[in-house]
Amino acid sequence: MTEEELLRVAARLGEHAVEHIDETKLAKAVLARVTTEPVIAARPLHRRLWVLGLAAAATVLLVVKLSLPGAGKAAGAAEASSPTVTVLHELDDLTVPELESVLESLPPPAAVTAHPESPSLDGLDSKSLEQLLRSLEG
Amino acid sequence: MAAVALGIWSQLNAGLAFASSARPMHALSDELLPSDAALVAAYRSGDERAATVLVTRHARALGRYLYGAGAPPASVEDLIQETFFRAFRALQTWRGEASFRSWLFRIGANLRKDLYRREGGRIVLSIEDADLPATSDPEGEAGASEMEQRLRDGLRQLPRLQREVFLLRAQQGMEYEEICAALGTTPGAARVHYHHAVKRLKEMMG
Repeated sequence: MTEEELLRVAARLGEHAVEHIDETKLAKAVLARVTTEPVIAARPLHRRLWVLGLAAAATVLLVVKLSLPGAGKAAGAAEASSPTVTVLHELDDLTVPELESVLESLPPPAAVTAHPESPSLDGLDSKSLEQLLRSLEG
Repeated sequence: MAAVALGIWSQLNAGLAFASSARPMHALSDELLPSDAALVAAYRSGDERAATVLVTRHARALGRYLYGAGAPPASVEDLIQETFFRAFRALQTWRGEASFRSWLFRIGANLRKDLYRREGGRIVLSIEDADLPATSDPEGEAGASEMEQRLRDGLRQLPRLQREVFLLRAQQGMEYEEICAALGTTPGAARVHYHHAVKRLKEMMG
């Protein structure tokens, strides 16, 4: 096949595929759609980029925070310390016998139970008992 | 100004059937034909007749291009309508760097590619270089001559840019500058794509 023959075929390519098209009808259909179909407003590019950047920054922050060593421990310590403070405030109004009963209700720490000759609490005043409680509760 | 030109042109053409080629109304002087840019401006000013003229002027050429680029014959008319719909919706983005026709063809080519992705997604082919199904549509091709069918089969096997440059040049008669603006390539690259396409098609068509 020569180039001229190829170009001759190419110049006619698709004529049969469009011969039935009614351009006036087509134009009416297009204009009807343009008039009736709602415009879907696309977000401006700068806004899309801003949202994308914000999402990326949040993801990086989350990953960094979770991957830091001791991040979980710090959270645990914070949780543990809060109830302690609350308990100690509640103890402020208790009398010595009441404090002793509270103390007895607590499970004995390993260090205390391991010591066979632990002194009696009878001789401790309220300030000492409170200090002991603090030390038991860490 | 555009509206006045359109009015004169409409009167001149009253009763005449529109030609189907990409450059209609050769019998009329070019000065009497409003340019695409003038028609776009008139349409944007609210003159719907301008849109009708644009559709009439480019619909068949666009359909032939889409068919040559691999659109199934049954989808050609729908693709033309969708292309014009999207073009009219996005007229503010056409700034005249490329001709209206090549801009329109670009929209149509992207739509055809989307259609192929939706309907032929299960066929594993590179969208960039071989985005057409390997099988032809015998029923839809009934009206095509044997040579035309062989050309279409050959075009399917070309890389996308070779296929599009060949169609814009050989089928649509565009100049290389216009092709470059439409496809975002350089004149040198467009020439190379065209010559590769011609060489390969000649080999394939024997």
